[in-house]
Amino acid sequence: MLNKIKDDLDELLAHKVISEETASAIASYYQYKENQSPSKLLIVFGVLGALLGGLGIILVFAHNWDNFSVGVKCVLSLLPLLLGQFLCGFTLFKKPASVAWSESSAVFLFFAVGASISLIAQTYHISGDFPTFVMTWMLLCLPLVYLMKSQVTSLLYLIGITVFCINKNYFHYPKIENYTYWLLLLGIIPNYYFLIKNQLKSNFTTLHHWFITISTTIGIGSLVNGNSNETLLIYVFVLLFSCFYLIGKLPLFSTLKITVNSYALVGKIGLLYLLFMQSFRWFWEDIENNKTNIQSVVFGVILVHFAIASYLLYQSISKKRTTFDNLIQYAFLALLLFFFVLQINLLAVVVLINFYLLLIGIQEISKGNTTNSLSRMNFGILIVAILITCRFFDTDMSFVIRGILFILVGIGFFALNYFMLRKKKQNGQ
Amino acid sequence: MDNKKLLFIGFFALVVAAQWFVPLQMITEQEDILNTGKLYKFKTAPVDPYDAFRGKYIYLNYANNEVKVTNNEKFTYDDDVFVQVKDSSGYALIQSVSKKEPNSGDYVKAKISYSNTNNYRKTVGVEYPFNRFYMNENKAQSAETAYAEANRIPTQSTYALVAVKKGKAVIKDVMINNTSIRVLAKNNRNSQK
Repeated sequence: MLNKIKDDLDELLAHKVISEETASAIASYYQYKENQSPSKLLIVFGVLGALLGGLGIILVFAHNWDNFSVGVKCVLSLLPLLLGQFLCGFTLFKKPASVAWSESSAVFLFFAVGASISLIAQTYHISGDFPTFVMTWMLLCLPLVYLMKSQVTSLLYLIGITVFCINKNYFHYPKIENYTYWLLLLGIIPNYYFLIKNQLKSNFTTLHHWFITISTTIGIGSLVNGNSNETLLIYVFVLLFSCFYLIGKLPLFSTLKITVNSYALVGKIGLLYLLFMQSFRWFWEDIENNKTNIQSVVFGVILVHFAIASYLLYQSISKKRTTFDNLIQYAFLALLLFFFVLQINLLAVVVLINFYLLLIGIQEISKGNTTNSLSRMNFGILIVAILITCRFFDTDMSFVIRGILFILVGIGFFALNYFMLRKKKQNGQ
Repeated sequence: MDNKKLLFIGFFALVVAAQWFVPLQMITEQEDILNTGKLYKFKTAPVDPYDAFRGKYIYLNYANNEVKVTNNEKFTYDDDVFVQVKDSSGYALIQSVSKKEPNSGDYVKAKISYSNTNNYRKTVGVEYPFNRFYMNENKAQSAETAYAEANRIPTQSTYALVAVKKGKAVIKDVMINNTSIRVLAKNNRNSQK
């Protein structure tokens, strides 16, 4: 990067845009910055080396495993643990400033803990409970995130607790609600807060945004039991994605690039996905046929999310973070309205949702046009295209109605393109 | 050395201790059961040969895992229960099953795999926690074959040797006609070479 800056500085000097003194000051500043930040490549290779080394040791021992006595097996099982702790101790006392050492030793110890417990279990033929094993492993390694300041371990922890949640809640029959995942998630929040406060633009923070949004989306299922009906479940997800979207509009996140702002992106895509699902008649027919059973836990979850989403929406509009006419931010309120309309007429709900989706798509296109953002405009076109595709394959609609609707939308797009081209031509002149 | 550094070292020592506690506690518990628990032979049942070996272990299916419920307790799938066992003709036999921990005798903690307590049969099936026997992947293929074949022949005696103590159990070995499956698998492999 420094070489690129030096090339640019030479060009600016040649064209007398900046003086030699200014060029020298800029070059010194970037040199200083590069010296301060640790080599990312070194960290990556360090972590990979630790990962592969740890796994390799396990594979070598596994080959001759049956020939060892129980005592030898126990000692060998605990060796990686001892080595990992030694490396962490060495890092803490001798290399506290080295990010590469901290990350590598913490990751090695993370896997050593899991390997030790599973090897001991294998030695004594303990079948055990997989979710309990994962939970124990994660709890034993959580302190490493804070002791070693290891962000890779933090990400591995998030993967671990998500795996725990999936096995505990989704692969268990009968399905019961379970809050353990949320308690485990609380353990990593101080680290996440630290990252947001001090390293908002770092790659680790970006990865944490993504891991936490995906993990909590999966984890929300742990708050509902097998008796909850789909209506309430869908609304829980609509509220969750609405909260994500509105969190993404907070000043802390709204300045970030769209690929970094996982809350806004996951929220928006999640809401659109659910809305597309709800644009089919069969969805509402299913809801009409299922009686809504109010389950205390699900309803509590709905109320809490509704309160958070409403507060965020109010803040967003009052502090002008979003415009009043931003349609997707009202998705959770719109769905409430749709449930009420369902009591009157099913077809009206289906028409309303399709109209709502079409308006969202058109709004995206319009905003893309206003802000000269091609990607936003294309996103809007994609929304409308998916909607058209859904209706094309919607066997509940007659060919005639489909035909008329497509013609109308086609004329609309033709007109839109025509006026945009005319506008560009006029601006060009 | 300042207080902050002392606190830091203390926290690190605590983490290290916790990480050693879990595996060491597992070892001491299992060794205690193996050394001081009572040995029982749990007769194994035939298994689907394609299902017996899962990954790096043999799945053990047990015969005599159904029992008549004599008390008024209601059992449902996945309930945690205590299975009281006794020696009958050299093999472990279920005496009773209950949700309450017994005060005496030998018993094992298990789970209900099915329940017929709501009909006239009044029986439940139990799934023991010691249903896996880990083996080296190279030997497991021949071990699986020997195990599956032995279970299908009524005259062959196949059983898991299990140490039982206060609800907990540890598999010592899996035997076919009083020979360890590991020895049989090794001999099978050598004869194939």
